[in-house]
Amino acid sequence: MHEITEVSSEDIKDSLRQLESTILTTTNISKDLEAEILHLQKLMNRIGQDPKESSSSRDHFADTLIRSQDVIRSVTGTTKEFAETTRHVAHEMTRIATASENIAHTFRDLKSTSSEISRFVTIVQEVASRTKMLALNARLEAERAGEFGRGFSVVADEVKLLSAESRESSESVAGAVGEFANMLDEFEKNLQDQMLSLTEEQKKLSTAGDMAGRVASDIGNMVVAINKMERILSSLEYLGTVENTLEQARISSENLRQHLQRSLELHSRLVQSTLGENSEARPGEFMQELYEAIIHENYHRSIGLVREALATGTSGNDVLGMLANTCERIMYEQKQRRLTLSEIFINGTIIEDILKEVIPAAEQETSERPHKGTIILGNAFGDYHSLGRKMVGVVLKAAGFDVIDLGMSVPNEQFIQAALEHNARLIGISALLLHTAIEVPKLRKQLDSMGHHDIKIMIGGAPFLIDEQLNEKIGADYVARTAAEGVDMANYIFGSTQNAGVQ
Amino acid sequence: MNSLERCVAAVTFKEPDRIPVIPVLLMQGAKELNLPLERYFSRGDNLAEGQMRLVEKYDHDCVFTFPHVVEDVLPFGAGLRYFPDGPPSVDRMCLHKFSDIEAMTVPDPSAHEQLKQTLHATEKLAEKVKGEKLIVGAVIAPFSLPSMLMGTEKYMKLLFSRDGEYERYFPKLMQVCTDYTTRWANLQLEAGADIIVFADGIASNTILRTHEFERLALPVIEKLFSGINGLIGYEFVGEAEEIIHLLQGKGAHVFLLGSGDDMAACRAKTGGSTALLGNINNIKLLRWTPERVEFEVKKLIDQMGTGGGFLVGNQGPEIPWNVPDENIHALVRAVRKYGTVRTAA
Repeated sequence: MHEITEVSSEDIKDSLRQLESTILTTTNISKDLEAEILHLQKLMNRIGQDPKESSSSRDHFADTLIRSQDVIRSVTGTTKEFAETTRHVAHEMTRIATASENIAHTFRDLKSTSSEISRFVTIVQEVASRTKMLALNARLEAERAGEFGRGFSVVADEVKLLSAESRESSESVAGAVGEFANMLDEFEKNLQDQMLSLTEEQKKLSTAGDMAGRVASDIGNMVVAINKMERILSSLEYLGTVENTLEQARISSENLRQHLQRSLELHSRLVQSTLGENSEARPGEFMQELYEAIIHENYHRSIGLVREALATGTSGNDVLGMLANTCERIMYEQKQRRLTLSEIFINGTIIEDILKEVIPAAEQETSERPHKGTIILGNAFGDYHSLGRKMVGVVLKAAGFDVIDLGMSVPNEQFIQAALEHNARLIGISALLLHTAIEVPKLRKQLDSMGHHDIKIMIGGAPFLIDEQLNEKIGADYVARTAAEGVDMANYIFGSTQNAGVQ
Repeated sequence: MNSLERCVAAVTFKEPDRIPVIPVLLMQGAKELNLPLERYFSRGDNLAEGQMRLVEKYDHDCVFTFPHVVEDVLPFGAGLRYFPDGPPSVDRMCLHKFSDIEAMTVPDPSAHEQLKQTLHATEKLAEKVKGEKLIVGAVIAPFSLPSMLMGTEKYMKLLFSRDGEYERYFPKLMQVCTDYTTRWANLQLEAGADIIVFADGIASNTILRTHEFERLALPVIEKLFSGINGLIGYEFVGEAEEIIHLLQGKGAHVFLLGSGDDMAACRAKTGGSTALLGNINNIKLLRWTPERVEFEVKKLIDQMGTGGGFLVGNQGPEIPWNVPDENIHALVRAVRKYGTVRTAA
């Protein structure tokens, strides 16, 4: 009996190692998937933000329509005025045509990214199938192990179930991405049609200004042109629907990630119950309890849980990893609704104090502390509003990044020096005052002139919430409207596949 | 109707001849006088002259008596940092630890040179346009003032302290800040201001949850309003829709709303009994074309109507330095074009 148990235990260990490897691979792929969707959303934002591609679109469309409507009213006035305005509309239409071409170009990028996502989804589905097979094998091993394998058998069934859920989620992502691709096709076709029509009307209008005698005909052309422009405006509004679909895809991928997270938790339980590892800390339960303590703003309970975990043998690195997962869950939920600063502040101070307990413990244990990368943070030069910056710093640390916080009113030279000294690829700048954000384009220019195109700038602050297109003027590489977005962006910039330490 | 009559009609829910237009033009006066901002801010004569030139240029319905609300921290000993193209920022706090609150006394606003200049500007403007234009003064609301005396982070730590600091220090802090702001507001009214706008960014629903607003800020606001001897404007400087009804009937005559709030929804929440001022996006004014400004004003007026209880303005704190003059002209022109009451014309 003893011999059989030992053999089974080895087999089970082997299965577990395979399972762990598979789940981790799937988790990493799901992160890639999220990063790609983030990239896709960024491309969508370019349509909404890049002045060349879009402002010449939505805003100028609106402006031109207002002007055109005025033209119709004023057409009954002087012919000269009409001719001038007609030329102006023709000019605007040229701009629109150019903008439309740029949008079409961006759409080609979008389509390429969407294909990439489809590829990832296929991989996820394959891995889900492999997980299912491994679960079946594990079930067989459990049967062989008899009484010893009973607990394992239950868990193996759960893994199988999760594999099905993972597949379902990835199919949901695939469906959403497919729908998105269809929308892109439809939009592109629509855009091309409109551009062709617009070019024809533009030709007619370009000569209209010199033909005062044909006012009636020109009015007709103008009305047709305006109608076409209104349709283009509607097409651009259609982007909103596309964006929503993209968001659904993102949420589906988030669900997938959560399933995988549960798989990992399950795996941990499996290790403990099957291999008899002696630890009071049960990761799934710990994370749930910590999550509840933080969201209920129970400071003492939160700190107490962490201290207890450390005192009963859980390593500082493990606690850090679990804290990162817990924070990720909290931020995901927070992204679904509007938050007040007080809520962010209270959660942030709890997490900050937890980090004060855990980081020293982790540092004492080993040099293999989870490390995703180094980020330099600071307020723009002249800005003395520290709270937002500090909160972003806390969540970035909790997410596994090393954060060098330079404080308030930081000169650009200091940002550069710190980035080079710490080999940081990202500088995060907080600017509550609009006129301090003007330092950012200067910093970008300085970095570029030194050849540091790889050091990216992320900006955040109240003015960027008030106008989502403000960065057109500021020119940061990324805008983080919330602390949670800051973490998303940082994960994206540093690339989830490179964070080998986070396991 | 002249501008003041128009504003009073709108605030008292009588139908004005047209909707009043209140673009918050503060720094722009320096451009008119071709003065650097710091120098412009430092003299009451400059401020008054700048405002007179601005109303001549744009023909809007009000003048502003103050350079920037940040000046309110100066009598406490805080320091300001000036910029060539934006309002100053507090760069030296005066409360470094909570225990400093125990030694706080209420400073005399009229004893500080900068605030004297503001009172002087108020008097000069009252000499020139009292009874014609709405003369607007402003004060940082007492609940929000500490964020500029100790920093927002420290203030949040006090508000949400876990070791009894809130109970120990907050009452004294609010007593000092409320006494000071009440006195400062009434001094401005005595000097000739028609209305005082209280900017209360830390109380807004962007910063506090509704239950926190009710517990922490509302009692302070009620006390403040009860001591003001004139018209009161209350600026949320953040989201208001979920808390605006809680201020209904507490003494404010106008609520100033940000672009993030739905004006019609806020009107519904207040039962249509307090006038609303807003809410053109001041940051977007930087990039919009004049046509787009006109479009946005028209949309707003279509939504709110011309029947009173509504004034068109930008969201706070002010119109940024780099907003083109054409956009300010477009804002005022659009209100004239679409906000004129046909029956009254």
